[in-house]
Formats: sequence, structure tokens, C-alpha cells
Amino acid sequence: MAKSRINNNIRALRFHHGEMTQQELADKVGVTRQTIIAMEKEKYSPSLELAFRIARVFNVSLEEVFSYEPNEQEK
Amino acid sequence: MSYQEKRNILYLISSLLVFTFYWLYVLQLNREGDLESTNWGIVILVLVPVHVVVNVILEVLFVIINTVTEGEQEPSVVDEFDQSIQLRATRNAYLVFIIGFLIAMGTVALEMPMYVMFNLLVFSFFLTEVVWSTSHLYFYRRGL
Repeated sequence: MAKSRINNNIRALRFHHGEMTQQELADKVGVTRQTIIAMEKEKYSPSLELAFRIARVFNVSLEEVFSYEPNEQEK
Repeated sequence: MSYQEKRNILYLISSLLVFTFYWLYVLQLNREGDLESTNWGIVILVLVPVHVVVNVILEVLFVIINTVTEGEQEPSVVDEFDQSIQLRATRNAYLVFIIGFLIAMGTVALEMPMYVMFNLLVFSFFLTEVVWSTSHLYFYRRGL
């Protein structure tokens, strides 16, 4: 399956927020740990609502958590 | 391996177990030459609750063993990732069942014996479950 073109800094942000565990983040945003793992491995792009909830937990803007990698045609 | 993956492997084992016994029963009937005279409606009406009971027993055992050995609890939420996977797995399973159903109806149209139609339906139930579980496993492993 093609890797998502939406990249994220969730792992780094967790580390900089008191080494928050995947389970703690999952509980704060209302998903399972499996979903956090899939997002960190960039195997799943979250919905806009979940993306905002994650950014809110880290108290940063959406762009600081997620970034979009355009393909050659879009550049 | 995640809880969801383990649970889907369990469903796969459950289906394999129930349908292996079912096919052994059909082979037994075939040896005795009773395929034509068997009431297949009753056989299927028994097969469904037996399958449900086996599923429940295996799931209870799985929860107990998993809690004791791994200390892992069942996830309390079904989130958007789970729902997306469920949707795709159901789509794949539905496609397999429809193909099986049409082939089974084709045997009726070709005036083949009724037991052929019933057993093709049971086989498509089995394939549907296998595809449903393996689709879950595939998407949990590979992502969406």
C-alpha cells in the first residue's frame, strides 16, 4: 500500500511533552493505541477532526503536527 | 501484535474449525449416499447457531488468556481507523458472498441437485468470513 503523503511529528511531539506514551495520547484524543501507532508509521492519515484534537493536546497549530508532501505534478 | 489482529486471527480459527467439521459431516453423508435425502435447510439452521456458540466460547477463552498472559484489555473504543477498516473488510466480504450467491443460484438454474446449491452457499459463507478476517488483518498490518 502506498505510503501516505501526509507526514507528521507526533512521535517527536510526544517526546517533547514529557515523553507522553502512545496510550496516553490515544486516551486524550479518544482513539486506540493501534491508531496512534498507525499514524506515527504514516500508515494512516487521520480525519480533520482527529488531527485538530491531536494538535490541541500538544497546544500547537495543525501545521506543526502534520505536513503535506505534494507530488511532482503539484509542485 | 495488536489486540485487533489477534481477535481477527481468532475469528479465522473459529471459521476454519466450524467449517472443517461441517465438511467432514458432508463427506460422511456423501459416503453413506445421503446427500440427496438430507434436509439441508435444517443442517444450515443448526450450523449457524453452532458457529455463533463456538465463536463466543473462543472469544471468552481468548479474553481470559490474553488478560492473564499479556495483561491487555479489550480496547474500549471503536475509532475512525477501526471503522474505516471494518468498512473495507465488509465491502470485500460482501463482494465474495455475492459472487458465491450468484454461482449457487446458477446451479439451481442449471437444475443441479439442491444440495449443490446449499453447499455452495455454505462455502461462500465460509469464504466470506475468511475474506472478512484476512481483510481486517491486512489493513491493520499495512494501514489505509
